Amino acid sequence: MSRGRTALAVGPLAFLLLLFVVPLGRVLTVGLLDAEGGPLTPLLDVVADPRLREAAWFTLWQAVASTGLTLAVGLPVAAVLSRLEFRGRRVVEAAVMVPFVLPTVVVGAAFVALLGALPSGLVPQRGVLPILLAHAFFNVAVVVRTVGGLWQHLDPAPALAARGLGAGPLRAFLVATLPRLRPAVAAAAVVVLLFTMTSFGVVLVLGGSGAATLEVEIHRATVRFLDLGTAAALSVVQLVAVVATLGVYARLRRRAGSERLRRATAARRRPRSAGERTAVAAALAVLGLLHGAPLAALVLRSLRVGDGWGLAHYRTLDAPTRAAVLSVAPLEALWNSITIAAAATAVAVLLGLAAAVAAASGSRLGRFADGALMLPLGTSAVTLGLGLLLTFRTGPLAGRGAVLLVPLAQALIATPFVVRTVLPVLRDIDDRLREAVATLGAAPRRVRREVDLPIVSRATLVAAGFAFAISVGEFGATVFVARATSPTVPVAIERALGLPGAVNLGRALALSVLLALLTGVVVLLVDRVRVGALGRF
Amino acid sequence: MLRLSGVTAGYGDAPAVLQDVDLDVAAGEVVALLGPSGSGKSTLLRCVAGLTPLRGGRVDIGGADATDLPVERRGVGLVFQDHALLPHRDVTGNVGLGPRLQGLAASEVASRVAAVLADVGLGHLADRPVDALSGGEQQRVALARALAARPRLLLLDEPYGALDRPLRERLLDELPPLVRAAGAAAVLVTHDQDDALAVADRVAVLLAGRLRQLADPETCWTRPADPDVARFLGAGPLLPVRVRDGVGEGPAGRLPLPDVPDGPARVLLPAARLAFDDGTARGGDVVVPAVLLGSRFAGDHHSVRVEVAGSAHPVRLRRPAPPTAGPGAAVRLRIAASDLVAYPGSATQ
Repeated sequence: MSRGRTALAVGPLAFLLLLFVVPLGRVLTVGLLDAEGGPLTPLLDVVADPRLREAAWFTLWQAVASTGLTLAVGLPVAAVLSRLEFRGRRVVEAAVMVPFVLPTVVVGAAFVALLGALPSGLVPQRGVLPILLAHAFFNVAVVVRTVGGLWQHLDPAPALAARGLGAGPLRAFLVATLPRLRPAVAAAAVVVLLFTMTSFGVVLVLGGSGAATLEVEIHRATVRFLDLGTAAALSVVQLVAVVATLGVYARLRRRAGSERLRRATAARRRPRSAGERTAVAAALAVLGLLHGAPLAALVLRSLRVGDGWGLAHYRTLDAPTRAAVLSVAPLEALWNSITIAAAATAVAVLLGLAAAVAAASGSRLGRFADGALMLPLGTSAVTLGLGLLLTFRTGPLAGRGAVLLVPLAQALIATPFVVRTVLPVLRDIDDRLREAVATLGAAPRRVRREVDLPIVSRATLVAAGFAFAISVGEFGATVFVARATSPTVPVAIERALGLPGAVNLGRALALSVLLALLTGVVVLLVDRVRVGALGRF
Repeated sequence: MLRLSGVTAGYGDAPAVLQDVDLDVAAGEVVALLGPSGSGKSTLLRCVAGLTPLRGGRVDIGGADATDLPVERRGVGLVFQDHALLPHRDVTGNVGLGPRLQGLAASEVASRVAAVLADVGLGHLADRPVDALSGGEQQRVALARALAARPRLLLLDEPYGALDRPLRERLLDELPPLVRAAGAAAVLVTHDQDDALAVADRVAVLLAGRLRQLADPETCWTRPADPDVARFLGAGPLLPVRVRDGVGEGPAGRLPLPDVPDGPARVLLPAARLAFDDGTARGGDVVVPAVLLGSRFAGDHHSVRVEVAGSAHPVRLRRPAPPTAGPGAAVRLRIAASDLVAYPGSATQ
């Protein structure tokens, strides 16, 4: 029986080999070896090109700056949300998490909508500042979750003891609390650094012509210059940076895990001093500006028609854009997105369930599959997309077969989430539950039907919701493999944002609202199904 | 209802956890399986349920050999400390599981569930999700689920360990009538002596994988089978003596031990039989010197701590009134000579 479960790991591993390992190998060989000028020439060309050196430097410093800004906003918010109690705290907590489930392109569109509505000259509409703001918008959730999660469960006794020994509140915080938060802060910083370093959709939409990261240059080299050698070499540079960052993260995480936590949550208390009330107000104000303003601007401007209001932008979504290079009606893109994401979800759920069952059996192959399936998450989506493009330019998945490639690419990214959702649930099923049911007269098969199946199917539903939300918003890999004649919504939004005219902008914003609603509804449904410990990462 | 003969069991290649255990439980009887943690209590229960295979020996349930019967056909009900309720079913769904698995019609299932829930006093919670219940209620649901399957044998593994003392005692009081009404027998695993004393018709003491004594509680505490059992139960002071011609010489003076062979021995003075000697000792009583360590009021009596000369462990005795002397005072205890329990052989510790 256990051997049968172990064998389930074979499918996911084969999928990973075909759609991740082989494409990544292609990127490496094309980037390092396959050049007319001899080995390493693409890489040397990249290093020699001042524009690309510039891109590498920009990638790094914008990531560092984004991380700094995110921490500056996120840490006070984490403090307020995890230590203080105030009316509406739960709503704020949920609101902080919203950006995390929004597609990157939608966030880009929201900032385009916001910055375009501001008086001209206040903030440039494209460039570095919009990118940094959008990155902070996205990643405050990471800081609040990682640091706030720890803070909330941190034993307050040492800080209280410090107070008892005569330290003031600030001193107590510096001496007794901050040192214990440091690993979590560092871990959050590295995660944000990784996300912003590999950020693509946001930079592509908000960067304009000046600010380009490696990801954007990879895309540009591929799509505009058809220079796959340079694209692959850039991917290699990106890969090295990502692996180094992941290495740091792994080390930090090991240290963060050693903090002793209280099982019970330390009680939140109402703000007492004027300073604390100001802190709550300030945190809420910053969140309102950073989180509320872009989303509000997105919705409002999608309804803005000429000098009045209306649904005109939404009504035109079923007509193809005349000015566009490829005329596909936005609503058709919506239908494409839904079917493709549904297919990706089906694949991800099947593979993820198989891998989770194999991993839960405890066999070495199963645990290996669990770890290996996480790899695509650590790789930039653009690199994945480029690898798929390089690998499947010919063969059954080229040309018309590319219809299949998009859901497979999205499944690659969604599968680890399925495993992460289902596996803990599978592992947590208490053997005594099975034993108690067996003594009541259930043979082994019936025990699985009464115990395992209902519990796992609920987790699977949650996982499917996540997989769908991730797939439907996926941009980085999809933009490389989606056929020009059948774009997904994120691809169509990015295209429309690149076109001139108020009509195109209006449609891009309307489409963004629809995509945000679709994602939001799915995540909300998932949240309703989630019971107890299910669906936690 | 249950008979174990020579049961030996263990996990993997490790040494046996249970060695050659014999046990008999009659219908309507509650036997408490008492032992320190790691003594093999839970393993014994798992062997009876068919969850752990035997290395040797035989299990009979209801008069028939069940050694090779799979767990689902043994007709045993299992109740764990952590309840093991199905989280996706409500109270009725959990309690009705056994009858449904037995293939009863829906109406029969419903009436049986209603009857069992009424028995355990949970009729009003039938439609609740199980995670909305308190710990005590969940434990009652777990018991009701086991009873609803009409088991021949009820196996309870530290069922009330997580509950506070008053609730625990109430649930323990309710248990024996339920077992008798169901015509079943019950084995209750516990490391808590109070739990065992509260419900057990007989107590089985398990030490290091061996069944060392199986007797009614009073016998266990006043005539422990060996010094280890006496020590585990905290049955009373254990004194080293040297016997010659039926008299034991030791730190507490001379003790009459008529039938004990000459040589070293240990003598138990069962706490249940010890009393303060207020000059009331009669013929046949032995008086031993002791030191008063302290006294506290314990609700409905005074609990006095004394240490018999030469015994390493103090013992608590009940008195209606506090002692007149303070800590450190010399006192005298009396015990009937026939209540002394002697274990010939030299002390190992």
